[in-house]
Amino acid sequence: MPPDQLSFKRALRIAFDDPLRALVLLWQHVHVQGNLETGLNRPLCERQADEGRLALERGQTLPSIHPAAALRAVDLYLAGLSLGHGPIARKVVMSAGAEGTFWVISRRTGWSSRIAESQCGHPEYWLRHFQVVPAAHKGITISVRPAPRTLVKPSNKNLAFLAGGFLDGVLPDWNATSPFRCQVLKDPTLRWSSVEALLSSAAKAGAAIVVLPELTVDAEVRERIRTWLRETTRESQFALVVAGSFHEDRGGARRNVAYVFDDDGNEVLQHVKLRPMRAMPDEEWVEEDIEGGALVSLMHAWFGLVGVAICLDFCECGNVPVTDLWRETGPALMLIPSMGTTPTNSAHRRKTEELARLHGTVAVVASQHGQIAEAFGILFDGSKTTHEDRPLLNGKLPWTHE
Amino acid sequence: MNISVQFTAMTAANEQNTSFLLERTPGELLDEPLSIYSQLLRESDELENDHLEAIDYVVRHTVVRLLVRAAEEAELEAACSAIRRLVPVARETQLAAWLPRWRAFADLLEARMAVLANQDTAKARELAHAGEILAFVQREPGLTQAEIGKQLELKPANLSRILGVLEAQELIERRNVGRERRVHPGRMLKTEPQAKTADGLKRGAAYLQVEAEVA
Repeated sequence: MPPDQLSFKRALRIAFDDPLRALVLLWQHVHVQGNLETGLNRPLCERQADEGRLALERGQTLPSIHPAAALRAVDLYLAGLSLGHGPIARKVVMSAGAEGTFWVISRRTGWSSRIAESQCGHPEYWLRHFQVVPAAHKGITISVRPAPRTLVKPSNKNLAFLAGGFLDGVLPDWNATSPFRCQVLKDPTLRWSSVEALLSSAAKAGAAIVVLPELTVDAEVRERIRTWLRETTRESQFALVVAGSFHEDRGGARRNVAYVFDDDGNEVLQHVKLRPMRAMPDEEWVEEDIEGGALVSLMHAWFGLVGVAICLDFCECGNVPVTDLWRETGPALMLIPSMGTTPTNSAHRRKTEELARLHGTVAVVASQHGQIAEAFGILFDGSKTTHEDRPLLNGKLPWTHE
Repeated sequence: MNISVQFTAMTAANEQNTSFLLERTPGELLDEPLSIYSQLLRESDELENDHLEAIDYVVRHTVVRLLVRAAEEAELEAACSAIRRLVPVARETQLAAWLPRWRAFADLLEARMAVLANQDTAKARELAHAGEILAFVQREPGLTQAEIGKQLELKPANLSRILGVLEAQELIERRNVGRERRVHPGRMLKTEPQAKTADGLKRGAAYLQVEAEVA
C-alpha cells in the first residue's frame, strides 16, 4: 500500500482517540499530497461526513469514507469536543511516518460563505471549524500565541481601527548612501507629539487597533508610547497598538523590528522584518542595511489569526519564502507597517486580493514615504480598497460575531 | 482615617511613606483598590523586599478570591487591567523579578475571562448523551463515572470526552474521591432555569424509557 494510503488508513483508525493528529493526517492527505479528486462528489461527501461524525460521537472507529468526508467528519467532531474552550491553538507533532509539526487552530464559524463551505474540492473552505498551519515554512518558524484579552472575547460590534502616518516631516536619520540604515529619528520630540495626538484621536474615536508605519517610531518614542498607554485614562480600550518599526542592533545584527503593545502598554509581540528592502528605482540601487528574521508570530483572536508583517514581508511576489508564507498561514487580519509609495500599496492590494479569496484575509496598512512627508492609512478588504488619499484612516473591520 | 485617605495625604506631602504596607493586617491591605499600590510603585523610592512581598500578597489573594467565588466578567476585567498596569514602565527593569509573576496572575484572570466569553451551554447540551448525563447528575449528584458509563452503555473514553466538554461549560464538576471520579452538578447547571432542567430530565427519562418525575 502506498505511504499516503497508509497514513489515510491510520487517520481513520486514530480519529476517535486522537482527533488532532487525525485531522492533520487527513489535511496532509488531501491538501499537501493532493489526493482529493478520485470519487469526489459533494452530496456524497456531506452525507458521509455526517455519518463519520456520528460514528465518532458514539465512540466508534471512523468508517472507510472519502478523504474529504473524513476530514470534515473529524473537523465537526473536534468542534464538538472543543465547546467552551475559546479560541484553540494546539501544536501537533507528527510521528510514525508522518513528518512535521503543525498548528491546529479554531476558526470563526461562518468565516467563509455557505457556497464556499460546500466546496469539498477546496480543503481551505471545506474544513469549517479549524485550520491547519505548518509550524515552519521554508526556514521560517511560525508560532501562534493568544491575542490580548480584548480580542479573545467575540464581539457583536465591528472592530474599529486607525491606521496611517505623519505629516510632521520627521524622517529617520539615514546614512548618506545605500545600504541605508538609521538608529534614531531626526526629531523624536516632535514625532512624539504627533504620535500622542494620533493616539488620543484614536482613543476618542473608539479605535481598538492602531497601526503606525515602518521606520517612524524609534526607541525613545516607543517608550513614550508604552508609558502613555500605561498611565493615561481612556474612554475605550485599545486591543493592539502596532508601534511602527525601527532599525536596532540586536545580538550583533541590525534588524528592523516592529513592536505590538496591548492596552496597558505591555509588549504582546515583536516582529523582526523577514525580507530586507532591495530595489532599483530610477536606475539607482537602494538597499536596507539589515538582516532578515526567520520567525513569524501570529496572535489567535476570536475571528482568526492576526499577523504582523513589515512591508515586503507581506507584498513580496518573487520566488522567495515570504511570497507564499501567508497563503500557508491563512491569517484573518494582517497589520502592516509599511514604508513605500503607490506601487508598494498596489502590491499590498494584490496580495490581499489573493489571500481574501483563500482565507477571507483583510489587511490594514499604515504607509509612510521614506523621504517626504506623505502618509496613508489603507484598508484592503478583498476587492475593496479604502484610503481616500488621507494620511489617517478611521475604519472598521468587516466581521462581527454571529 | 482609612488607608486611602491616609495615603493621599502622604503623597500630597510627598513623604512617600510605605510603612502602612507592613503595619496593616493582610485583610486591611486586601480591602484597598489595586490602584493604591500602583500609585505607590510609581511614586515611592523606598520600596524594599518586604513592601513588595506585601503587594504580592495583595495581588495573589485578589486573584484567588475572584477565581474562587466565580466573579463576573467586569470584576475580572478591572482586576486584570489593574494588575497589568501595576508596575510603571520606568520601573520595569527595577522590578524585573516581580513582573513576570504578576503578569502570570493577570494571565490567570484572562484565561477565566476567555472561558466565560466562550461558554455555550446550549450547544454542549446538543452533544449525544449530554442531556441524559445531566439528568443523571441532577437526580443523583456524586455518581461515579463508571456508574454513568454503565447506565448509558458508553465506553469510558467516550464518556470522558463528553464529560470534558460539559465540565468546560461548567455544567458538571468532577471531583476525585479516592480512586473514583464523582460527577456533581456544575455552577451553570445549578443556575440554569428550571425549564432547561426539566427538558434534560425528560430527555434522560425518554432514553431510559422511564416516567419523568419533573416538578
